[in-house]
Amino acid sequence: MKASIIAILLLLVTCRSAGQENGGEAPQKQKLSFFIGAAAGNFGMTIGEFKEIYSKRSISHIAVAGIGSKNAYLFGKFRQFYAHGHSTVENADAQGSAEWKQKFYSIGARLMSDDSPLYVEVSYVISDAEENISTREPEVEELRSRWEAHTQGVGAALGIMINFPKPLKTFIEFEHTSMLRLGRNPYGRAVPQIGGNVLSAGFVFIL
Amino acid sequence: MKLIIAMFTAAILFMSCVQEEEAKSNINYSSLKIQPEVDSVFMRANGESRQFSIIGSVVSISERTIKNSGVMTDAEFTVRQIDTTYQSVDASSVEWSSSNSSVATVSNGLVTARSAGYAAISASAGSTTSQSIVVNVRPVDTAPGLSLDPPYSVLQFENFTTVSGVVQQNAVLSVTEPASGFSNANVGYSSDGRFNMTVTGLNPGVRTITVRATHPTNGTLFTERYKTVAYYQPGTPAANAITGEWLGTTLGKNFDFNISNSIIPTRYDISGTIEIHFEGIGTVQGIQLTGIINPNGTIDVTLAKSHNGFSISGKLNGLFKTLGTGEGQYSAKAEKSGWPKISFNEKWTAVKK
Repeated sequence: MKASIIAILLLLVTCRSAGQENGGEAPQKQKLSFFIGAAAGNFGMTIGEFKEIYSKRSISHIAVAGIGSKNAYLFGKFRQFYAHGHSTVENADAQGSAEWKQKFYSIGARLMSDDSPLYVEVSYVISDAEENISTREPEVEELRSRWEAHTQGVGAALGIMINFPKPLKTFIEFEHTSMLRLGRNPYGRAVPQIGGNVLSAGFVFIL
Repeated sequence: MKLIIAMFTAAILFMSCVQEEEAKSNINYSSLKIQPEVDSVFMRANGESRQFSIIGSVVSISERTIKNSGVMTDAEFTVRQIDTTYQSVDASSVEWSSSNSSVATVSNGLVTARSAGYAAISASAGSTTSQSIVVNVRPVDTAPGLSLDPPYSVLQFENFTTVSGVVQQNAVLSVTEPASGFSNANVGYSSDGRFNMTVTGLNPGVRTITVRATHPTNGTLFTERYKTVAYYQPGTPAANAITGEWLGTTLGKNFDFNISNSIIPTRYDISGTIEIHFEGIGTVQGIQLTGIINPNGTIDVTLAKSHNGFSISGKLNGLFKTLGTGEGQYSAKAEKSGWPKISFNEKWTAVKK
C-alpha cells in the first residue's frame, strides 16, 4: 500500500516536472526516461548489540523505480530485511530466539553525471520495524514479546553504474540510512535508532 | 598486671554472652512445634519428667527476575520462590511456659509433673508461639485399700472358713492358703467392693489365709491382709485340748465355765455360771450358762435364772481364737411383771485354766 502511494506520488511529481519543462521557452530535447531495477545486498544495523543477537541475517532485497531527465531522477525505493537470532535470557535455563523484520520506504532524488558512472542519492525514509522474541521453551509464555517501531529518517547513497548492453545496466551501491530515535520501550530501556548501512548490487533497466 | 588480665577475661566473657544473646534473637521462626519424646502425655505426680523437643519452621522468600531481551524488545517476569525448612531448635533458646505450674513445670523443654491435674505446655521465640500440648498428670499410684471383716483369728472344727471384707475398686483380689494348697487368684467383688470368699480344704493346724489386693496396672503395689484359722478335727487330741475349766472375765469380775465333749461329735458343750449386776435389782449371782461351741468356732450360750421374781435371760456369744483364749459379748435382761425391763450388754474374755 505504501509502495503504491509512493509510486503515485513519484508519477505526479515527474509528470508535473515534465509539463513545466514542456511549457518553457524553447523546447529542449531532454528525453524523459524511466528506470526500474532490483538489487540484493547485505544490510548492517548500526546498533552495536544487533550483531550480538542476530547472527543469522538474510539478504536485503531492494526494488527501485524512478523517472527523470538525463541527470536527475526522482525515485522510489523499497527495501526489506529479515534476521533471526538468539535473544538474551537472564536468570533462567532457557534459550531465547529473536526475529527481526524491517521495511524501508524511500523517496528521493538521484543525481548522475555524464562524465562519470557515479551517482548519488538523497532520500526521505520511513521504516517499519518489528521484533519478536520468545524462547524455545513454550511454557515460558511470559518471555514472549513483540514490539513495533514506525519511524522516519533520511538516507544517502553512493553508487556506480556499469553499462551493460542497453537498456540494461548494473550497479553497485552503498547506502546509509539514519532514523529518528524511538525513545524507550515499555521496560524503560532506550531504543537506539534503527538505521543502518547496506551494500547492494543489482540491475536496472533504463528506458 | 593481674587486674588487666582479669578485666580482659571479663570483657571476653561479656562479649561472648552478648554474641550468644544476639544469636538467639536472630532466629525468626514462622512457626514452632513442640512434641513430647513419647506419644503419651500422661505423667505421674511423683516428679516424673519428660523432655519435649521443639522444631521451628523458617520461611525464606527469594525473588528471581527472568528477562528476555532483544534489540528493541524486552520481556520479563518475576519468580517468587518460597521455601519452608524445618529445623530443630535448641530448647534452651526459647521461652517455655506452663499454664498451671502447680501441676507441671517446664524448663528448657523438660516437663516435670508436680501434682495431679492438667497443664498446657507451650514455647515461644520472639513473637512466635508454638501449639500447646496438654499433659495429664495423674496421682501417684498407691497400693489399693483392703480390709477384712473380723475376726482375724479364729479357732474352728471344720476345714473351711469364710473370708470377707472390702477392697478398693479396680484392684485385683486374690485369696491363698499355701499350706493347704488353696488359691483363688481372681476373687470377685461387688460394685461397692464387698467380697465374701469361702476357703475350703484346710489342713489341720494353724493356717494363715492371705488376701491380697493388687494395683490393676502396677503389680508391685499391693496390700495384704491375713486371717489365721486354727483348725482341728473335733474329737482328736489336739481339738480336745479345748476341754476343761476356763476362767472368764467381764467388768473385772471372774466367772467360770467348763467345756466338754458333746454327744454330737462335731461340737463341744459349755456350762458354767456368771454374775451380772442389774441397776435397780443388784448383783445376781449364779446365772446359768448353757450352750455349745459350733464347728465354726462360734459360741451359742444362753443365760437363765430366776431371781426375786425376775426372770433373767440372755445370750453369750463369741469365739475361741485359740485353744486357750476366747472372747465375745453377752446380753442379759431382767423381766418382772409390773417392772420395767432391764437390759445389759457387755464384753467378755476367757482363758483356759
